[in-house]
Amino acid sequence: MSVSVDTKPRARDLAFGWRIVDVLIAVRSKFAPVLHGPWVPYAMLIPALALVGLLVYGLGNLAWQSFHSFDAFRAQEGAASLDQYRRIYTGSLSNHIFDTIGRTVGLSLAAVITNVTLAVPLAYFIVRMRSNAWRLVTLVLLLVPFLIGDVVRAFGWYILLGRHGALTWFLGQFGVEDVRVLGTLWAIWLGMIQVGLPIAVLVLLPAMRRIDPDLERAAATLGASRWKTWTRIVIPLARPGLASAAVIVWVLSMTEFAMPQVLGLGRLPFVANELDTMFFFQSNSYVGSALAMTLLVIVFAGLLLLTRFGFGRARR
Amino acid sequence: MGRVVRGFAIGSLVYLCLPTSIVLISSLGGKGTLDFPPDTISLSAYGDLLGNSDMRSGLFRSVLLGLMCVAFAAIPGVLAALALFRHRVRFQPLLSGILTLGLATPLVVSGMAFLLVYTRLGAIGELWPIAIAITAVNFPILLYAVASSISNLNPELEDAAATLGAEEVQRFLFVTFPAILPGILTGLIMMFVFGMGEFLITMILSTVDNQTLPVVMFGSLRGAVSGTLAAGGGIYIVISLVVIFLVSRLRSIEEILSRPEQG
Repeated sequence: MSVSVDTKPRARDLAFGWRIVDVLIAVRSKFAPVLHGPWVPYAMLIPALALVGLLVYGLGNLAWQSFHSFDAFRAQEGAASLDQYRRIYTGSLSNHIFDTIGRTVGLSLAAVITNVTLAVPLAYFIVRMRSNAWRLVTLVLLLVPFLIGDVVRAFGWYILLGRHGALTWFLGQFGVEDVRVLGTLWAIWLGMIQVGLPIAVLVLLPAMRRIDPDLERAAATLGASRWKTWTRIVIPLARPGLASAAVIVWVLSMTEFAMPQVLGLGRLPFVANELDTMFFFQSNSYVGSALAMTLLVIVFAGLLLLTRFGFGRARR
Repeated sequence: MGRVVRGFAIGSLVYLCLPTSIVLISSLGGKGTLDFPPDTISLSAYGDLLGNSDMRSGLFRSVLLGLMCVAFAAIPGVLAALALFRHRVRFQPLLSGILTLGLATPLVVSGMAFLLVYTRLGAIGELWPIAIAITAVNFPILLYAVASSISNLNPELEDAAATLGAEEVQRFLFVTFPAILPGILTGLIMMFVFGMGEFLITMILSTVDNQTLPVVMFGSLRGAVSGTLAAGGGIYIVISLVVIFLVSRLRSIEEILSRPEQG
């Protein structure tokens, strides 16, 4: 263990390193009774809990605000009430809010179904691939879109689908002109596949890897068709992975902000975009809190449903 | 493998790479506008990006933010993973549930939650509170990376070291720690990438004066889209490639997100 950077003989370096270890051992044996208390692991959790505690505290703040009235004119918090929820569910805003929530939930469910359906063959393809070099290439192709971040992804689709973009150019080669995809739900859906598919595959991989290929061979020997092997062996065995993939895609899709803003051209807001508007453009964090709590409840409810009842328990 | 399965798999891979490749191609077009296909090949868009002061300082802040996330996450992450997955703690499922809250809460809600806290504390306008928020939200990624290393740990190695007379300190320093180091490094690299590329929380918590590259890029999407933006995307693509290379040297890529056995 070399500590100093100058060019002293290596033996001196080693001796120095060992002296540090000796000091550590001495310190530890001095404090041994303290360091072996049952509370030690709990103490080790303190920094992490403090970090996440800040988030919990913030969520508590959101919940508090959502259940209090607010005088926007005087910027003063009022008494405990259901005013904020009443405003978003029954006021003049309600139609818009329900549209937004419906759009978010609908497209997120569509994204869950598409992504999990597409992730199964892709994960299977990666796991059963014979060449390790190609597997690495495939994983790179999968991981790059996953790591570049939401804005770059949205930007890629934007210039792909945009007016002078690659799609127009490609369709132009076949004489098809004036195709507008940007600003439609289809564009957002296309973008959301990009967001969820890589992570769905990554979550599925461990479960897929545990499936013994001999089982499929046995099924084939016993005369099962490919389709039957697939529905009776592969998919049931991958089910735990399917459930976690669905959960992650669900959470990610429900909070999607960049795709609706960029690919929907801002005309088709999701809940996240609406929250942005409420908090920053209308500066009303109290109404916003009520919508944020609504989103949180919907996401947790979906999460519970997906984990509790599994995914695809009914045989398809 | 069936032809249908392979067809679907390759089809989705091509689909996934479409926008990434388009961004790369456009960033090499080197012109003001993003017509496809580009007429010329040059790196001038990257030069423009570094010449644009907003973009340049955004890029600098993004890298700084990624490094801050690593710094804030490292010690709490390693300690918590050791406590939860190597020691016996009561309420283990509950505690690990709390620590993974950031992944289950929708990002936008977490962002707004931090906005309320930071407004109250007067911490809006600095970069480090944003890093703390991102660290809290991405914490499970590091936790799972370290935990999967811990669950792959062979307990007999420590016993063997103890039999050979190694002190507890020595066992940890020379046996346990080197064994979980790849997991720690993988987790920290992921914290860096996700911190550097983070958008939603950063956008919520940043002001006009401390925007990171994704926020600057998102803002300029509303105006005329230029090659400089594509160059920004290109930088993220190159960084992702470097990260994948580093992580694949540390451990098999499939392990990155594999969940450890609970308990």
